[in-house]
Amino acid sequence: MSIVHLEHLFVDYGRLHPVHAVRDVSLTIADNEFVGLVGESGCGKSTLGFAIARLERPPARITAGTIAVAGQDWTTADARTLRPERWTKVAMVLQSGMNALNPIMSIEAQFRDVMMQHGEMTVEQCRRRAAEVLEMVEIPSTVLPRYPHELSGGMKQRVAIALAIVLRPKLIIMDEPTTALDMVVQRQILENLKQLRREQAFALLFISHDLGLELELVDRVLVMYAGEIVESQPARTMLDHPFHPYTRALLRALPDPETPYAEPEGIPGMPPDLHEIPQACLFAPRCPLAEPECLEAAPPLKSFSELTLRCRVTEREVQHVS
Amino acid sequence: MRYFLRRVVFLVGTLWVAITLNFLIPRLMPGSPVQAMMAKFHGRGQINPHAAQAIRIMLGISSGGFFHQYLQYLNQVSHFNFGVSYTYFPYSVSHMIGQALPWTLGLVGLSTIISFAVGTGLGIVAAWQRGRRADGFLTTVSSFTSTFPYFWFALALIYGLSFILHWFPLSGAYSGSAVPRLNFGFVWDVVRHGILPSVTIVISSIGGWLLSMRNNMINTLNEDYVLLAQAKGLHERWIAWMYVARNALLPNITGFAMAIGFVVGGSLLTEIVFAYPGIGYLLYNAVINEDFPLMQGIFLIIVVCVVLANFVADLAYVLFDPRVRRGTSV
Repeated sequence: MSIVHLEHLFVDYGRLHPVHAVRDVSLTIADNEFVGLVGESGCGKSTLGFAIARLERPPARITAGTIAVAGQDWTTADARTLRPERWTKVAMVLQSGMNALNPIMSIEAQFRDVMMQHGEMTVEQCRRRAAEVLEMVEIPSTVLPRYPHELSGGMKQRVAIALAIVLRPKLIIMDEPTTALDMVVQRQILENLKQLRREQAFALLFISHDLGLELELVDRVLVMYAGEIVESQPARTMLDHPFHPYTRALLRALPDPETPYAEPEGIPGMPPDLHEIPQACLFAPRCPLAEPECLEAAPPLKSFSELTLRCRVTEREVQHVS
Repeated sequence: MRYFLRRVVFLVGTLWVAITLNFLIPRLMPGSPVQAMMAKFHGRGQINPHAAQAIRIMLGISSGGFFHQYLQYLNQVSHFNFGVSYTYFPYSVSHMIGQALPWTLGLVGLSTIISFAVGTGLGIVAAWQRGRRADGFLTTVSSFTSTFPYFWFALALIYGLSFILHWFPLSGAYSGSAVPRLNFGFVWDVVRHGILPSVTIVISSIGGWLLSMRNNMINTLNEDYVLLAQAKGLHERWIAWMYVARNALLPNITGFAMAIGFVVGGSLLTEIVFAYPGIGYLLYNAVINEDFPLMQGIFLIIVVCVVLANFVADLAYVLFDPRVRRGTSV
């Protein structure tokens, strides 16, 4: 079974001169699967994450395609239909836990909010469940009567994660959940997530620009470039066999702890302007492997057994490897 | 507790500065109350030069040194003794303020509360419906009403509704023939006199509340916790109130407390236009008659009320915002 199934999703910003932020994205997230979504700033990964949860805000709007969550069509569903489904099916964690909590409500009240508005629960039951999920992220239940400003950034982010799992959602979308935190706290949160996975079944869409982090946590990585998915493959094979030149460049940009003097490599050039999409491979201007044909027609997305790839040049290598 | 103590110390300090300034400023102005009193008799025959001394004694003006006067003033103020009004002699300043205060508190106080409550409420609605028709209407109308001069608006109302249509009385707080008594007839008379001045104040100030609340709301709507509240599938109204409005209201609470403090100052022009016997009108009369004790008394009352209102606002803030509760700064 799949928890999320997208077909040919398009998301635009604005109407007069629209920016085509997400284009023709089809993807499926299986139950309990951890999926990573990587790409540089502005590639549309957050836009896609919010669109899946149907939280796109004007001027963003879905112009084509379908979103199905647990078999239910979310593309056409109105707010009234979606309200009871939210948080019980799809929960979210945002980049800065600092702003994810309402400053004037105690932590307990914020837990109570979601639990009481999604089911019949007594105050006592709420408190017990809140303490339980807080314990999963290694936060003592003594924070319950506290207010957000009394917690550190890392604690707030873990409270936000606890809040996300409290209703046992089928999918959690995390949008750069560790970006605002230092390395030590980042590590703790990663460990928390791995631990959580053993205790509670849920699928995860982990949005990040840090491919190294993704490879460690998720089962499958989606690489997004300029609004399109350019490569999708299992995390265990991606490190050894990245195919898309962009994926390769991202991997080369990671610092390698084993060769301390090797400089991480940058990717030259800038992502394209998404107002007008040329009929060509969008990465070609920055691509070391680009062939004349890459600039003449957009490459199709091709599926191999566990790999999906949008590159005319490197797809020739796929046969050799597998 | 430390927060409370700090606020109290601040309150006392502010009051002392206010009282001292209140003592100093009139004494730095040219002219003197004795001259003003003499001028009143001007043209009504000769005045004996000794009269100046007599007036000085009558008005209780100390002949002691400057510092002596100051100490005397502090002592009197602490007993609510503001001296004798020159204009309304032989009434004392306290008596005159006591007469005017209830009218102002009733008229301006009620109007301010109505204006704040309705304006803030409509601001919440406008922000929640932002970009839609209700928002466009409310924002346009309130931008318009908050810019026109309220004394002009008051005059327009008087001309249209009182003078032409005779729906409302022209001026005053109650009819000259009415006997001040607590019965329906008199209360109705007071209400009828209060409607136009009150409408003037509400209409001219409501736009400010509406627009500031709408702006605060729209800033708060962009916060992550509001987006997450929607992701959580909470009820719309609960989000609008608990997640957006409650947070957006915080800056407005200070503004409201300030406004309540200024209530006592009266709505000067409104009271003048309607000849409403409140503090504003009294102050106006005190100024044109160079009635120093009355002016000083009124200024002091205004300052004390503003300072007290700020004090109460600081305390109320603690109730609404947990971030200041433990005396910790954000």
